[in-house]
Amino acid sequence: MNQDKNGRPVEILLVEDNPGDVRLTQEALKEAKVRNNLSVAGDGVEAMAFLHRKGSYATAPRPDIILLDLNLPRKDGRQVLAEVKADPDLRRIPVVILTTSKAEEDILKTYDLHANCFITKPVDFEQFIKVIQSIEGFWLTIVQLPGTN
Amino acid sequence: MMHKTQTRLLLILLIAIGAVAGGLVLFQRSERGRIHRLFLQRTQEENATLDKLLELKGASLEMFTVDYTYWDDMVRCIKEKDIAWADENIAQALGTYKAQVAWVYRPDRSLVYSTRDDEKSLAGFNLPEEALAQLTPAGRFWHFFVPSPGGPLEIRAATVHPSSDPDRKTPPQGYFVVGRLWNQAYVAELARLSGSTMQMGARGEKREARDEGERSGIIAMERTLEGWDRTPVAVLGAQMISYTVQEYNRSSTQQFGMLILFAALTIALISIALVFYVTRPLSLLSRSLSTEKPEMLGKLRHDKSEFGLLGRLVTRFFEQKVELVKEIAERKLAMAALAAKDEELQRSNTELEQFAYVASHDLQEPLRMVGSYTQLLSRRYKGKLDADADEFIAFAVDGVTRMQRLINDLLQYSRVGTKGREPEPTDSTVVLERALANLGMAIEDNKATVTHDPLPVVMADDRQLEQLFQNLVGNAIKFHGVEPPRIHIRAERSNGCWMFAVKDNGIGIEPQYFDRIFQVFQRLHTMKEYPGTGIGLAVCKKIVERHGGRIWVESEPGKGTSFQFTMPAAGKGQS
Repeated sequence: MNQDKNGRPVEILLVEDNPGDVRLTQEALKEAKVRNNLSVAGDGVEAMAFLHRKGSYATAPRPDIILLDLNLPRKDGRQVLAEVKADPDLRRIPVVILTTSKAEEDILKTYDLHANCFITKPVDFEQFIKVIQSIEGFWLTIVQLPGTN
Repeated sequence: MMHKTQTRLLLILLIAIGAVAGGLVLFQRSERGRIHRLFLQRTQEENATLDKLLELKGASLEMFTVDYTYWDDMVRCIKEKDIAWADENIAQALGTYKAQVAWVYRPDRSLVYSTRDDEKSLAGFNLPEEALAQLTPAGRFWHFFVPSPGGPLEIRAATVHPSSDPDRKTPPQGYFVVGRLWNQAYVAELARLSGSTMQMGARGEKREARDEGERSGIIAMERTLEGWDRTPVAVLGAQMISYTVQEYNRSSTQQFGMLILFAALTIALISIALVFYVTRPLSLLSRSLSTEKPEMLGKLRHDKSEFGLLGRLVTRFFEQKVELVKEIAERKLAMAALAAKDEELQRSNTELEQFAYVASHDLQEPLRMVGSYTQLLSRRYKGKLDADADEFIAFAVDGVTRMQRLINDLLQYSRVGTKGREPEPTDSTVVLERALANLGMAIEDNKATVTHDPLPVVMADDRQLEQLFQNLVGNAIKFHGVEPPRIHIRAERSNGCWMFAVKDNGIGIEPQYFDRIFQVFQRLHTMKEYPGTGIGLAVCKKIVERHGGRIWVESEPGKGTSFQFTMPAAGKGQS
């Protein structure tokens, strides 16, 4: 219901301010099995505008999954997470925290804010590709997500 | 409370006054006794003297009756009523015997003769019938008084016998009676002779009390002049002044007065001395102590007495107190400064650790970029560029990997300080088992044997202790010798701490490296021989020191190494 069985590519929203990481994620997804459509928001404000289809994002697609970095300019990733999970319309979208942080308090805090999973970005590119592919394999292939309207 | 000593001194003074007063009373009593005895003695003596005088005076009258009554002439005079003879012999003799009257009676008590001399008061006076009735043949001599108009009349009478019968054996031939008048002149003579004042009075008249006599020195005496029937006719009172008693009384009173004066003076002097030498310095001392004003002591400080010493001590005490207060204040300041410095040091230490943590943490981000993209390069373009490019990329990847490991290790090292938890009682056996479980693969691969004695409960952050065991046992496995590694862990009590030892049979360490091995990134071997960044023992040292312990190594190259460290015992305060 949620993916490419209908021929529709999976919509992924990457909230990440570091272009290097954006590009790495893109490169990793290129090697993925699933057809996907990656949108990028450079900070928390942009991310919320995208999700609420405001301004230039009026025609933005509703993402099937959000990959969220925690340390973002303007609006913090934790704040974005809190707002998404407080919004009855958005809260069903799985949010994967993808960050360089290994801090215990970050892990606890984000799970308390109903993050769906917490992943630390590996330093190794090979590992990074594996992680991205795992996310894809798990959340977009194995898990049954609620359908979009 | 403050005046207790003064109250006590006052009490002692009162007791002293009481004792002196008691002594004075006793003294006076004994004086009174002495005066009393003296007075009694004098009274007895004077009485004896008076008696003797009266006896002597009475003797002439008695002699008159005795001498005239064994005389034949008298017998004849009675028989013949020879008035002429009587006038010649009796009336003429009255003056000699100092008598005023004489009677001669027959045995039947009828009057033969009576003198009629100049004494007017006795004119027509006769013996009363009752007195006359006393003269009976049964008696020989009589002596009594009868009242008469001229005063008490001393009567002496005797029976008359012939000259041949001086012993008066024969029946009386008559009675011879003489009388001496105790008139004022006689009493005055008696007084003159005895050196006293005398007066005749009725019995029971005024008598001086004995006590009064003792005081005044006047000895009062009485002689009752008894009648024929032993009833008093008159009382002769005599008063003697005893100058001895008087003098004694006077001097005793004087002495007593002087004693009282002396005692009062002494007590007054003692009181003044007590006030001046004890009470005043005492109250000065206590006041200056309680008000903390040593200058109040004034001259007392220069006094040579114990109070002066006390005063100087008090002054010194206050001086020292001022010094002490100053010193305490200084010390407090110094301590505050020290505490501030300590805090500053701790803050800077924490900041340094924080810096190391943040630096290494933030370094990871760009490094991750470098690493990821060099790997991406190698992945995409390996074999597509020239051989040099492949080699360069390989070096870059290798460098980044090493740097990543170094930064990771540095992060781990700085976390010992910043991410540590409060030590709490921790069973080191359980912690060691956990560390050994983490090392399971390495132990198995190297066929290592790890044994341990029973281990104690210590005050530790269990995760750091686990890391410590893991690093030390891990090292012991890593640097094994030819034989499979045998590692033994034991602990023993040492100065309130526990000393742990991790002993192996590995390659050992040269003594000159004993210190270097605990420094960050210090390695004794090439990467090829033994991989690693050289952070393990530095982390161990930091963990042990964070727990207030000490770590050191004993080793002999080729034989093995023993790493020793101390941990605070549970229940003791940790550092």
